[in-house]
Amino acid sequence: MRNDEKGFSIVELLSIIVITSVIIIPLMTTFVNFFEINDRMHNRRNAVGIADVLTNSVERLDYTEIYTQMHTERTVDHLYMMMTMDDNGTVETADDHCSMTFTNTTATDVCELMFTMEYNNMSIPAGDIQFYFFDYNLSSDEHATLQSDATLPEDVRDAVAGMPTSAGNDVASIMRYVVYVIYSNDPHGSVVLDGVFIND
Amino acid sequence: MVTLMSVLTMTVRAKMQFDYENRMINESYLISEQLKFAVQNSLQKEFTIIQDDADAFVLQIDYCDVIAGVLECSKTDPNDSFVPHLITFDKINNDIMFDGEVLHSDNIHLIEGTSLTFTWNGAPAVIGNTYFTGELTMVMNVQIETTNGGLLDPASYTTILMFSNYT
Repeated sequence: MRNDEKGFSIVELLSIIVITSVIIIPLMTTFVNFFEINDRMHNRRNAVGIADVLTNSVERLDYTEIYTQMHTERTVDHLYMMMTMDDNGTVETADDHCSMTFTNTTATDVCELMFTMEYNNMSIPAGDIQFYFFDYNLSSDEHATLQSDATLPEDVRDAVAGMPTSAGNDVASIMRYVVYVIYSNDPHGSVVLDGVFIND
Repeated sequence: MVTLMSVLTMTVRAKMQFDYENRMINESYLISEQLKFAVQNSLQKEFTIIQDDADAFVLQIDYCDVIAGVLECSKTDPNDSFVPHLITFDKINNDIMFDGEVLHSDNIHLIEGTSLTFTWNGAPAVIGNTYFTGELTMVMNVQIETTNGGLLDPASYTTILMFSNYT
């Protein structure tokens, strides 16, 4: 057998494969991660856009009806009213808030549009846009009850924790609300904005 | 070596596609944000369509005071600070403008199929006390022109904004 044959030995080929893999695998992993992070960033930005439109839309709802409905639904253990849309595309808490709560058909249209917003092609699935309404004045006991209420999403409880406590009585002309938008199943894949709803 | 070159080529192509999509969505996002600010800032507003034909759609936004006890929008301001603003969709050139300024870069074109529509939620009617509500729907077909004059594939973005009209 001659010793000067051209070509690669099996050891050389394996070395090339290993070296190439060492270069390519981290490169591709980084690139895929880069795409995912970018995608997540766009989704978050659009979800913030939707949440922002929603906070500016709350005032289009009928304050008196919402206030009355909240006080009908809230209990000692659950000091809030939640509005969302079910999988069938109807708004609920007790099944269809938009048509049940508002006698004004325009307010109903506004309400239903709020749950089907679209921002830069991003729309949020039914049920993943949630409104939580609270009394404006929350006593320290009510605060504690809300923060330990497991029926509230953790992010909403965090938002409640940021609301001031007050020993004052309920104010009929102001409510607090939290808009909770879930745009991804990832941890922290939600946007929470809160504000006050004034009967002006 | 061939594999490595293929991977590098694929990576460069993916990076180009990535940059292109990012640019498109950023332009759409900027237009959406500017119009959102125009229709949703906290001042009281009155919206009036002053032109809606084959050439253009023009929405005028008047800022106003709501006078206590009077359900009307007062556009008279002693400091003259309530200057009306115009959102214009030029249907001939396919440009979206705010106060005459095009809201997108020179090498971004809005192409056929782009629309800006203004819809009242139901018939204009007073809710509770003083305001109407409506929605502004933008469907933007965006296309990038490269520096050498080439056109990249267009992309379409839809955004819905809501607003109220004090009257």
